[in-house]
Amino acid sequence: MQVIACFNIKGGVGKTASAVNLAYLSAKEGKRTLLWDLDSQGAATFYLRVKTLIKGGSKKLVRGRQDLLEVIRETDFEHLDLLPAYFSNRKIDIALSQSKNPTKRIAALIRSFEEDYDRLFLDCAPGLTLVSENIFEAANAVLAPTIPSTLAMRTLEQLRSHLDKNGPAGLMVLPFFCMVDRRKKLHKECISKTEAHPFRFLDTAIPYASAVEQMGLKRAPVHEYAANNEAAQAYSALWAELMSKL
Amino acid sequence: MTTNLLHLPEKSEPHRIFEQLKKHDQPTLRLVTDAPTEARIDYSDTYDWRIFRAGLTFKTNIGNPRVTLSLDDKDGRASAHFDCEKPIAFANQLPPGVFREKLYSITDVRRLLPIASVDEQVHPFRFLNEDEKTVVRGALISRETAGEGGIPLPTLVRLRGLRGYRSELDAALDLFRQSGAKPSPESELEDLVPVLERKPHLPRDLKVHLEDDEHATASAKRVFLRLLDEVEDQKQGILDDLDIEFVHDFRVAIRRTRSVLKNFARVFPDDDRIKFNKAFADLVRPSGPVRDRDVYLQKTDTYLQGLPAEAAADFAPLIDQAKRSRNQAQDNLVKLLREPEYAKLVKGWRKYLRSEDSDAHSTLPIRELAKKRIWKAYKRLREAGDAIEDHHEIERLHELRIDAKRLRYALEAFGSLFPDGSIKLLTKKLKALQDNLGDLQDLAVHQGLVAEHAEQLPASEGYRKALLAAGRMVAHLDALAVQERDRFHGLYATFREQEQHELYRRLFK
Repeated sequence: MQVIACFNIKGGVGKTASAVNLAYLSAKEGKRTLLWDLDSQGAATFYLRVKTLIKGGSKKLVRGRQDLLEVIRETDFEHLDLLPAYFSNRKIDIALSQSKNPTKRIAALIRSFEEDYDRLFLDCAPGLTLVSENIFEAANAVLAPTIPSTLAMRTLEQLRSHLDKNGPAGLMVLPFFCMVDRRKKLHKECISKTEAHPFRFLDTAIPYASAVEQMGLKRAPVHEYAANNEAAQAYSALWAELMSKL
Repeated sequence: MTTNLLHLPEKSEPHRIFEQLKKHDQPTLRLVTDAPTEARIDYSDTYDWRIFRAGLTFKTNIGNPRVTLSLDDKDGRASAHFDCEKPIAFANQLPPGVFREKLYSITDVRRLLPIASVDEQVHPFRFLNEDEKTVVRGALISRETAGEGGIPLPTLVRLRGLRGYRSELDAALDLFRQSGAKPSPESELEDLVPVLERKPHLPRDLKVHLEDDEHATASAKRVFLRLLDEVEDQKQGILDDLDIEFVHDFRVAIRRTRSVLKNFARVFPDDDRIKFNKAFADLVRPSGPVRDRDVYLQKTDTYLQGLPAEAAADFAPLIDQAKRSRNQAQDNLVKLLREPEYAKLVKGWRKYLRSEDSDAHSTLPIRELAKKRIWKAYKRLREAGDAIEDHHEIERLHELRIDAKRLRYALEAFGSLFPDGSIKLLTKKLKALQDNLGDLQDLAVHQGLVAEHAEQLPASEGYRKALLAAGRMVAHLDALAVQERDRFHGLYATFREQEQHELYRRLFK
């Protein structure tokens, strides 16, 4: 089972939209795909019209495979399932910290259902937490959507520094530009400077598009209602590029 | 998530059903219908209903331009499906893959015979919750048999709850039950049984359970009657030329009959035994050329892969000749089965087996007789096998094959008198040896057939090339035979292992 995490220390960069759209494309290929919403905001869960879990979610996280499998919901899209968001990230962190191997608990859980799915996408909450440590242990690749701005590049540098010191060896980090507005000089300049960056950016950039913002209204992946839109096509290209690397 | 299959009352019209269901709409469970589609579904199975017996249904959805094959379970859920260009008659016509393996594991080499064709009107629907999320998917399927004068069939409801939405599925099921829906029978095919020409049946179990202290004649008669039923079961399939395995099973049943007659010579008076044995020998004889050619034609594709491409192409006229020759042999067999002598033999033999006159010949308990006969057959096989020093002694290998069959038939006919696990073990090792000897026999026969067909070829364009290709084929088959003969000693050594020998001694000496 391939495990792909969408993560950035900063919030509001397009993590959830990316996770949902890429998971959708994976399922379209006929691969059994699970999207795990690890952000208590529950945006991915909302997009896919599933209710968030309210009670006992973090306990289920620590208990094991069977309890997790019980809460999985099939989405409206063939081959795409969702593990809905739990109510509180704080409670997850507490539950993890109380378990054995607190930074590897999620990886152990993921291994327990690797026969059930071909691909697992993790939509992660922003910030460096015990959950994010778990993600780094579990993932084959970390996709880092990044808005082309100075602050965003600075945050990416913080992530790189953190992973150099604390991250598992050989973790594949794949930043890509998201919510790009090519009318903005700053965006263009930022993108042009990435050749020197230690992380190799993916070639595909996702443009800013109201069609993607409308995911909250349509409550569906962008390909379902705006397949010809530039952003939808960019996600398809991003998916192809990601697959060529994995 | 579970799929449920329901029947609706007769003459249920989909739009009325939907109207009725919509009256019960709630925010948490609201019905939405989608555009209907039409489909032609062809159902098929082997002549012995292997797919049906496996609890599955094989369907071909005749689409345009492609067809979809599916193996469905009893809830109508596709346990496997495959898109291809045209319908298939055999599992091995499919490209290698999961679907072919699954189908082949059930059907083996048997032909898929048509059972029924159904025209379907599929009315898909969904139930949504208050978030407009699909929680249950389903379809109402109106059906009738295909063609003119289509016979209406029960309307089906297929319901599937999405994972995690069990209570919604239960609520949807309740709604349908209130509309008069009832659980459907075990399989979709069961609805079709009243309109089928061929009905599903369980194949005959050739194993006859024998009692230790039963008299040998009484036991043998029960075995013979079962074998006779098996012979009769194949007749129509041979006449209709539905599947080459009918001829095979016909021959096996007759060979077993003759083998038991010979092996257990004391069970009937000699005159009767000789008379019936000869009659069955005459009966089985015309089926030999059919079976030889069927097996040959089945294997030619594999054989041709061992030739250079141009020789394989030049071989085509010989395959055509093989098919003509096979059809001629089939016509001869059909003629024999239609003759009064065949019906007379079957009737006479059945009457003989049921009459009390033949009862008292052997009062020896069957177990005692079985032990003696099996031990004798085993010893004979061992003596013949041990005497073969050079595995190129073709005649001796041919005789050994016959001895092996004799032992196998005796084990199978009277195996129920001995521990099941032991019989299975003995039969397994014997089968491996038999398969090798059988392959050798096939290769010898097929070399002969190639030569025969080459002689029969009409003079035509490509004739010389065909003759050359025939020569190359014979050489190729000879090389294959050398490989099989090289395997013989290893397989025979396994068969004659001390542990096996001890088991034969313990059970039968």
